[in-house]
Amino acid sequence: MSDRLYHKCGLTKVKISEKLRNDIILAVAVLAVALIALLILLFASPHGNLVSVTVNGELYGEYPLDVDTTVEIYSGEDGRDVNVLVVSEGRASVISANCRDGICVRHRPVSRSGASIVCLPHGVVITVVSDADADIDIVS
Amino acid sequence: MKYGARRIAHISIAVSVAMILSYIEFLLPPVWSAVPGIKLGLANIIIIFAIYRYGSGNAAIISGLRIFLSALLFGSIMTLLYSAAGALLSLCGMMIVKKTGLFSTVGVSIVGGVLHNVGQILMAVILLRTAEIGYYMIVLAITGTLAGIAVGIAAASLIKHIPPDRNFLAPKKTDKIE
Repeated sequence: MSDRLYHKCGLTKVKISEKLRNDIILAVAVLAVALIALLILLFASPHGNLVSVTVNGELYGEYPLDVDTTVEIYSGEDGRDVNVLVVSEGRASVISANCRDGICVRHRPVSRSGASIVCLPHGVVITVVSDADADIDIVS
Repeated sequence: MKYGARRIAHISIAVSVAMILSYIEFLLPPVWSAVPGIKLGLANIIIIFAIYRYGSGNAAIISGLRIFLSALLFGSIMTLLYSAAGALLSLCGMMIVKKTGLFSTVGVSIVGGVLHNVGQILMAVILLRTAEIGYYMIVLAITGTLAGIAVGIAAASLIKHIPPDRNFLAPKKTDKIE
């Protein structure tokens, strides 16, 4: 009985090394892919020059990164949900929001093209784009 | 498959333990609040245990009941959509990986953990109509793998130490033991 048990949970004496090896290969492969993607994202993407704000997939507004501004993003019924976006020194961040988790407020400021701050409860997505990107986005 | 009393009891216990584990996890402080979705996935211990011990069909029932009841008790339609997407993809992936017989519970669990995050991110992409949120997947792939390893080890231990109920789902003679 115990033999079958070990078979079932993949802990068979004979097979353990093979399965363990496969497990390790799998884990290392996933981690390697993620790390490579992370490095590409961190070091290869250029700084953007526009901040694009969408609410539930619809464009709310676009603001240049090189002009310091404060934008209040209203969403939800009667605009009762608000996120305050601040652009300063070429970086965008959310300084306050009345959403329940406040994840967007704790997100570090974004400046590189493709980087984004997401407020899931409000459906607000703030993305840094460059001009070239923006044209493609409008078409798609 | 008959719905014998034993089977119903086993499934019910599994569902309730999975829900309790989710609740315990909910009480833990978030690891890194900047990225939503990082979690241990303790309930997956039960799902993996069910896949190995009760078979894929029963595991799917347990997973489905857990998602539905959790949403009913603690969540909303939105959380139901997110967790259902994660659970469905994760369950399918784990069944396939288990079928290949190449991996132990740890490998199965890594696939389950990462695919759970993939499912939730895909649902977010669909609901928010933005692909940018996909960038979170990079961090989630790393944390999902680490959590998967821990959960896989726990599941192996559970399968090892909880003896099978011989009266529940006696294996058919045609079933092959891998």
